[in-house]
Amino acid sequence: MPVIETQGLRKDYGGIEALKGVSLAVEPGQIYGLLGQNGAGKSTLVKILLGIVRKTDGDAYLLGESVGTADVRRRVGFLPEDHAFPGYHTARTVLDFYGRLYGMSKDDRRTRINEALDIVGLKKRMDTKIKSYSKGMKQRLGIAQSFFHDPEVIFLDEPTDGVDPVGRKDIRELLVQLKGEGRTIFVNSHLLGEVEMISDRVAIMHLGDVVRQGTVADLTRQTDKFAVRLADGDEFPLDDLQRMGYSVSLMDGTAEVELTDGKGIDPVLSLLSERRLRLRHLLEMKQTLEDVFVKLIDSTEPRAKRAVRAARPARPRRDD
Amino acid sequence: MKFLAFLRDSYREAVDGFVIYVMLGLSALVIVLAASLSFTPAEPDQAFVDIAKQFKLAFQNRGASNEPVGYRVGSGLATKYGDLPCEYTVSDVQRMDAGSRATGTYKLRLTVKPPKVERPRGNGLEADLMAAIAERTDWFRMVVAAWAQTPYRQDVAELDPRTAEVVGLNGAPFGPPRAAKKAKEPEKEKGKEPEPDAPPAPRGPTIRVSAPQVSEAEKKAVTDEMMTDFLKNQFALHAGLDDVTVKRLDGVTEPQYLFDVEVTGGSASRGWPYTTKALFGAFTLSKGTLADGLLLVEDNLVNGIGAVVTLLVTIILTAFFIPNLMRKGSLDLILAKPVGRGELLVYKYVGGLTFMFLVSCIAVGGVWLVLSIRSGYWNPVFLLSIPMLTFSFAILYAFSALLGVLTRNAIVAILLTILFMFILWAVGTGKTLLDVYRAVPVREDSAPKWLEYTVDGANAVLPRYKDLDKLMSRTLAEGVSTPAELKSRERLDLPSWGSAIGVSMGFIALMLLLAYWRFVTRDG
Repeated sequence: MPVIETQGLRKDYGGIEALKGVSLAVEPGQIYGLLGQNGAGKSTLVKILLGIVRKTDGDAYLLGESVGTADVRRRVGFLPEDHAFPGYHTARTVLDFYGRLYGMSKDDRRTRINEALDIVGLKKRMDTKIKSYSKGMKQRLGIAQSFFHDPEVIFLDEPTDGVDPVGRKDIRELLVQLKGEGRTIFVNSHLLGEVEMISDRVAIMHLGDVVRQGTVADLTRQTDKFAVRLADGDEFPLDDLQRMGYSVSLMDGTAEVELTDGKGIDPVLSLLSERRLRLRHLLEMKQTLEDVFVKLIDSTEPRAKRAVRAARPARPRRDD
Repeated sequence: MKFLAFLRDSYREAVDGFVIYVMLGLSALVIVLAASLSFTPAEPDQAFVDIAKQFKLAFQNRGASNEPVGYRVGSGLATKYGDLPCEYTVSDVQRMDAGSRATGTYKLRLTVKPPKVERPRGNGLEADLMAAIAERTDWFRMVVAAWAQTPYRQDVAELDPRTAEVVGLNGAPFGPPRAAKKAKEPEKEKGKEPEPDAPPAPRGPTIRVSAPQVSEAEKKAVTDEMMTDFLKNQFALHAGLDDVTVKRLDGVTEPQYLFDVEVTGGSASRGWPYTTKALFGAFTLSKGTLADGLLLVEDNLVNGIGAVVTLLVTIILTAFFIPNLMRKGSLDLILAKPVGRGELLVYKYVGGLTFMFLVSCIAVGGVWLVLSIRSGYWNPVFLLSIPMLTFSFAILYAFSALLGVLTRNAIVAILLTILFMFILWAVGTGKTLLDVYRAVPVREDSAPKWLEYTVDGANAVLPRYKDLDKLMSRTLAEGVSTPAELKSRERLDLPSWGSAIGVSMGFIALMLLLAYWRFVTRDG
């Protein structure tokens, strides 16, 4: 049973359609990456799931219940984008405050706060006022507050925002660890590389709609391109292959063979064998998530049109 | 648990800035000022002379009424009262026991006699009336007879304020008013005789003058017992001295009267004269009853200036609570927790009130403690200033909370709330002035109708900030003043607690409901 499920979810902001009928399902114990440009509707979707923003239409369920109830919110954690912690708190006191709201006991709060701040590397600064923290420290505190109360689902909106590369790696490892503990993690991000490295499933949102979703492997698999390398001294039969209808380009001794018109790679291999050419390397090429994303955006909205949209006067800003 | 969590959060937010320390500093300053006061009771010789001087003011229906025995000019809020001119002098004050001055028993001789016949100070109608009344004799019998009347009777004359002509007496018309005569004159010139049965022309505004209606027979019927009862009543009303024995003595001829008086209570009584000095005796603040000195601090310093300063500073401090909560990034964090929007708003609102309550406890409690120690008079009524101050703040903070939700801007909330506070004060003051203005019958010009409608309308719907202040002043006075002083206050047309609190609470509820509605209907 999915822990997060939406069906035809819509949201209008005074005439601006932020979500156009989003349907998705997240299974328990997954890291689910939601990708999209700024303004795609990612944050709106998460806020609807948490009851912060009201939906216009459609259904949304979290942990099997309708979204927005206090009981559901008790079982989830959330790191918002551009969060602002009260500067008059320290890391310890703000978590203690939140812990009281979650109804945690005094002993639980003491134990869990220490553990969480230790995990995100803030234990030494836990009694310093938050207003003196750097952006990266605030981000780590934000992550700590999203999981310290032992939630079943964690929503992270741009979790690596403002964090240095070492810190990013730590966060990735932490998310994998949290997933290992059986939690479901829902990550909003436009940093495709980060999401690609840790996500089990990914959805791509564009202009308020989910335009593609699946596992990372599914999305990045490329079945029509192979990299072929021959032994030193053997010359690649470029002309013959082009005559056979393949599109081939040679770069640094490796040929990229693109299969067209439903042709397979086997005729290429047969030709190489007939010519007694020695095959050294054959690899079905994959694309990065970024390639998939850019292609997808281009196909749904050509660059020229996108450029025009970007050049328009700013409209009232949505949450994301 | 959630409420306590928000309370602690509000506390952290409040103590994070410097304003709280300014506020605590000001509170400490007021407490030190109060601690610097000294209250010195007058010596018995002088104290009884001062107390007896006040006996000129007697109250109708054997002291049970709030209305004084004597003459009065005008009516309603514009009434001026005049005492009946008896002279009360005290001599031979003797201490009868060796106890403390506070509970001492004293014996003294009280002489009552008519005043020297002279034209009283003042001029015009009032002075003439006083002089006419002063020509009568045996004032004491007249005062006692009038005091004992049940019900009290008086002659009421209606005067034309422009001519001082009597136009009515005891409810009956007294000759045609001059305005009517003037109106008839042009008709005579034209050779027309006025119709003999024509009703008198409508009269303009008149001024009402009244004086006790005491017959000679009533004066003669005054017994020694009535006189001693009267004096006992005066000691009780003007000095709070209830344990008094009075005995009439022979040796003087009427209209002079001589009495032996024995009183127990001394300076513990509310009417005992005190000298109040400030800054550890550096200068004299007041000479009067203990109530005068205490009320100067409790009503004027703490409940007056202190309250305004405290309200202003607390408005500034707490105005940030809700806009800070509603900042982008901050609100998302808190709304993702298992707490409803209504709860959030109420917790933040109550957090502000609790803050005000604690500050009031420190300031008022501190002043109360040092005043009680310094004066020896432990009056818990003053502590009611704490909930009253908190309630006044609740009105302003409800308005500030609504602005915080609507604008998410603390500066706008502060400025508009202070403006609102000023408007409430102006409407309350305007209503008081308007009521006095309307009670003066001699005015031919009247306030513009639009102004009356505006002030009356605004007063009807807006919180009774000024009324609460008046009511609190009266409550404070009840804690320390003599019964006679309280009667004078009671004569004022004070608002009721019910309407003052009811309208104010209705306003608070409306502001919070609007804020809640806006909060729950907005996204994020």
